[in-house]
Amino acid sequence: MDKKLSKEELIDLIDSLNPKIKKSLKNTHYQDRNDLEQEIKLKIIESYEKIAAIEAPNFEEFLAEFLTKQKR
Amino acid sequence: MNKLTSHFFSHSLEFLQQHYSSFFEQPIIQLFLQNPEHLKIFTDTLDSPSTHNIGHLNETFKIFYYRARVYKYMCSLIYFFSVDFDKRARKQRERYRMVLDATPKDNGRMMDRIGNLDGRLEKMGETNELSSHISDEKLIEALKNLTTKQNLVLTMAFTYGLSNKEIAAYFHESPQNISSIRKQALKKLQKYYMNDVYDRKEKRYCG
Repeated sequence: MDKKLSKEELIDLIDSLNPKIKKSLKNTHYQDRNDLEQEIKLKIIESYEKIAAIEAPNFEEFLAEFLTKQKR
Repeated sequence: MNKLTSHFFSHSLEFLQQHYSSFFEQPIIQLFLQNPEHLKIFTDTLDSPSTHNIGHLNETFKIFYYRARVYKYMCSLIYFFSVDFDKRARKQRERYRMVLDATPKDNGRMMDRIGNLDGRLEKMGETNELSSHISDEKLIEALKNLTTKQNLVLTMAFTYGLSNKEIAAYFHESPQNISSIRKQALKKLQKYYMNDVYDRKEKRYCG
């Protein structure tokens, strides 16, 4: 888990998000849909650095945070 | 190991679900435990809270949480990007309307002009000869009296805006020579033109 997301995984991620992308295409005019699809995919690839930088707590950290919050 | 969490792990699942109900109500925990594999790791850890088990749980949860965040991020990215894209596209369409059957004052309907080259219009004024840029008929007459070379030099100088040096390079001659050809040509033009104009004036006023 050093590197959180490999490039291959990013492609898989885009594939798995395909239904969501297809749905969002309905937000625009049908003539622009192919353009939009391409731009979204590009945007996801561009945001790779951002995704890789996302931090996630492990179970203990998450639990500890919850417990301290509850105490207050 | 953390004191807080070790205390947590020492209880049974039923006890935890009763006393920490708000913890289990959190969507991320609910989703995490929905997966039977994750649930098994969790119950195993509760049964025997060894360092290995807790480490395993930590790692699995971390990956799960990370994936959830990435998906959340992606979904909002896709949604907001598409909305934004549409806004931009709308603005673009609004600004640059494609009006096919409006009639602008000067030249026919847009629809008539698309994919339809007018041969006559294309040829009009297309030659680069000096005479095609002149509307004064007398001057065109005067131009006809020049030699081909004089005409060529003037065309190059005035329609293409070339310098004497450049024209000289084209003819493989000296710039001085070109300069004199040019001067002579202009003199000739002036002579013919002026004579003509004087003739006209004389006819008009004296004839």
